[in-house]
Amino acid sequence: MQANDAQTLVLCALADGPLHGYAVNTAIEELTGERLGPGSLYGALARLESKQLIEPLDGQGRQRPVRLTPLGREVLERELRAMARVADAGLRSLGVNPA
Amino acid sequence: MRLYPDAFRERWGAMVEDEARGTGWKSWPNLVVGVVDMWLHPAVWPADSPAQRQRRVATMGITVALAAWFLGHLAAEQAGPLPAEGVRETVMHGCTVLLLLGIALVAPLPRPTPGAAITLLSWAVRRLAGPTALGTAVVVLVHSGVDADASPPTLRTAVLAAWWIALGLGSIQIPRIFTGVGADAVVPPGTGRLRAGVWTLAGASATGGATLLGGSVTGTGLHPLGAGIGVGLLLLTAVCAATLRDLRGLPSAH
Repeated sequence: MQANDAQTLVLCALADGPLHGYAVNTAIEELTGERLGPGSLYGALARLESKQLIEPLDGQGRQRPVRLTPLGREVLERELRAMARVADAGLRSLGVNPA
Repeated sequence: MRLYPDAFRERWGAMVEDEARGTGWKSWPNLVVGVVDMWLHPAVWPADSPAQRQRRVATMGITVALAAWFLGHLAAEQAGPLPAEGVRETVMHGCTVLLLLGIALVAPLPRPTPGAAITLLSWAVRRLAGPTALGTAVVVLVHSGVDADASPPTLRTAVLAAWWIALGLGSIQIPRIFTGVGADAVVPPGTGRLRAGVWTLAGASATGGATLLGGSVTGTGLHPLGAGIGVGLLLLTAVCAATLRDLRGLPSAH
């Protein structure tokens, strides 16, 4: 996964707690400055659900919230740590203080 | 929204509609890409169990195999780019054997019960009655003494078109038998067999596609139909590669 990968962004948006699709996209917009297209967003949600990284909750009306599974939390943490290591190394090489 | 697979639409349809309505026409290109993406990745559609995902991947494998067989058959029936001699013909025969092996590996197995056999048979009759009737009519017409060369060109064209339509419809309908019968009648192959089958199909379509494409652009000159069929087979290889990647990330049924 990469920092701008739709699946990583969805997992990050869900790290705070369960959200429905529209709210996931709003959280992604706050994080990156733009919303994902509906095809990309729900394609990412379907893939994450198939890998058992997220799971649906009972919802009201048309919107059904999803949340991270313990496996999803573990995978997200591992990915973010790997990204942070790369970012740290890159910033150090540029002579910029990572902090 | 209607273009999405049923399983995806039932799970996410209402939310995709809300999101698309909020964004307006600007979301349409992304939606089209999303629809194509979902049809190419049946392993990630919402499912009740890992076995259901495996059954979908098996159906996808059979679809790819039949599409590859149809394209290979189309190439074999055309004049050039493959002369009926030498290494290339051997390669194409090898690809056919690989396709058959791939089908044997990915095909769901019927449950050993009379009920399952009846269900399978009734779905097969329902799905294949049309193409079988059309193909039989063509064979009967050709063997009834009609001289294709002496016949009016329109009759000859109509008979040829009917033959290819029958083959094409048959290729489309066979996978639909497996989507129709469900878990009560067939057991999907395990992940290992499925993976081996998709690898085999990928190898067959890649070898056939590369051979046809090579034969179409080198030698006596460009052969557009042969090149197109070669590219089609290589695209099927890409579909197999994507399926193998999806299988890697999925939980197993066993």
